[in-house]
Amino acid sequence: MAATIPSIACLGVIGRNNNPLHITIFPSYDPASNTRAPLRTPLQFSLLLSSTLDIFETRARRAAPSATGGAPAAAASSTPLLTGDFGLLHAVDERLAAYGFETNTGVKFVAVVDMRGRFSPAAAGSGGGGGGGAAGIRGGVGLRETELRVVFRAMQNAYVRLLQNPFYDPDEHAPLVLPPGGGVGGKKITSRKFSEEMRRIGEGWAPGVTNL
Amino acid sequence: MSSFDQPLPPFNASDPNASFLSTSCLDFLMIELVPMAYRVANELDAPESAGESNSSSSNNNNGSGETTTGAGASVGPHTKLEEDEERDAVFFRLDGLGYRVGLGLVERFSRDRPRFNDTLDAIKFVCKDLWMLVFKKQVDNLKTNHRGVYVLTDNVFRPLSRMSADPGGHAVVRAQPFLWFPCGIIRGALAAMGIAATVQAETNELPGAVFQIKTVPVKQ
Repeated sequence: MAATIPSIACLGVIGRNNNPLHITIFPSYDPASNTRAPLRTPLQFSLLLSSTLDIFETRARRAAPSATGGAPAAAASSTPLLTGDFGLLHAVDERLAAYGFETNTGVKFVAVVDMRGRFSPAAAGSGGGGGGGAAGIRGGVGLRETELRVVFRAMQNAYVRLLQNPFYDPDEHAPLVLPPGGGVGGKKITSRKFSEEMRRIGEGWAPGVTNL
Repeated sequence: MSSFDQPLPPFNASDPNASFLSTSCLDFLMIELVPMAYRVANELDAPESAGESNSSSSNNNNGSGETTTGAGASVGPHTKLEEDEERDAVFFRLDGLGYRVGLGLVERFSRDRPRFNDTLDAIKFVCKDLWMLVFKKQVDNLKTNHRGVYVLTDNVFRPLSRMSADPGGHAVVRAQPFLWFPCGIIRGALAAMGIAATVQAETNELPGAVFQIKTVPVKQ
C-alpha cells in the first residue's frame, strides 16, 4: 500500500433551511494510476452531505432538553453544547468520514475527509512499505476530531467575510421567513472569492496543520 | 473622547480579526443616513407614483418648466409624499439598511460564544454584547411578558445622547427617525439567530429610548 495521509475530499456549506449553499469537491490520490481524481461523483457527495443533516438534527435535539427543562440549575449542571463543533458525524466507509460544525446562526459546515486522500512523499521515503501509518506521519486511523477545527474556523472566517460583502444578500440564500410565492431563497453562493477560499482551505489542510 | 478609551469587552483579545474604529463613526453615519433616507424616499418613491400619472396623462399636458422645477426641487406640488407615506418609506429604507447590518454583525460576533438555546438567550446577546458593540453600553432594562414581547429600555441611548433642541422644538419627534436604523439592526440581529420579529422604537424623553420587540412565532 502506498504511503498516504488524510486529505479533504469535499467541503460543504449548508444554510439554515438545510439548503446547499456551496460544495467544493477535491480530487483524491489514486495509487493504482498515480493520478488525482474525485473519489465520488458530485451527486454522491451531495447525497453524503444531505445524510449528515439528520445527524446534525439528532445531536442538536439531544443537546436541547437541558435548555427546555427551564431550571437554570439543570442547564448549568448538564454541559451545554458550548461550541458548534459536532466532531465526527459519521464514517461512511473505511476511507470517507464526515465531520461537522454549526455556527450560532444555523449555518452548517461539513468536511468530508478521505483517510487516504493524499500521497505523502515523506511517508513513502522514510517508511519503505508498511501499513497505513508509516514513520512519524499518522496514517488513516485515529484522526483526532480536533484536527478538523482549524478547517471549520477558516471556513467560518470565509463565511463571515462573505457576509461583510454588501453585494451578498443573505435573504436570497436562506431567508428566515419563506416568502409565500417561494420566489427567492435557496440560491447558492456564487462569490468567486469564497470559492477560492474554500479551495485553498481544502487543499491546504493535512493532519497536524494548525493554521489555515 | 471615548474613542481614546481602551477597548472594553466584548472585544476579544485573542481574536486575530478584531478591528477597531472610532465610536463617532456611528454618529457621523447617522447624521448622514437619516436625511439621506428622506431625500431618497422623496426623490425615488415620489416620481415613481407621479411618473405613472405623468405618462398616462402625457407629458406635454404639464408645462415643461413646471416639471423641470419639480424635478429640481425633488418635490413637485402633487408629488410631495403624504406625511405618513413618507414616514413609512423612510422607515422601510432605514430599517432595511439596519437589517442587513444586523445580519452581518451577528455572523461576525456570535462565533466563539455559547449557543443560543432559546429566544431569551438571543435577546440577552442583543442586550449585552451587541448593544455594547454598537452603542458602547448595555441595555439598562429588559422586560418580557414571556409571550414573545420584549421591551428594552436604554436610558442614555447613544445616537440620541448628543441631541438638543429649543424648548418646543419637537425634539422628541425629530429624534424619532434616528431610532429606525437601530431598529433594523436589532431585527437583523434576531433574524440571523433564527428569530423573526418586529421591532418598534420610541423615545419619550431625550436621550432615552424604548425598543419593543415582538417575536413572530415560527413553526419549527
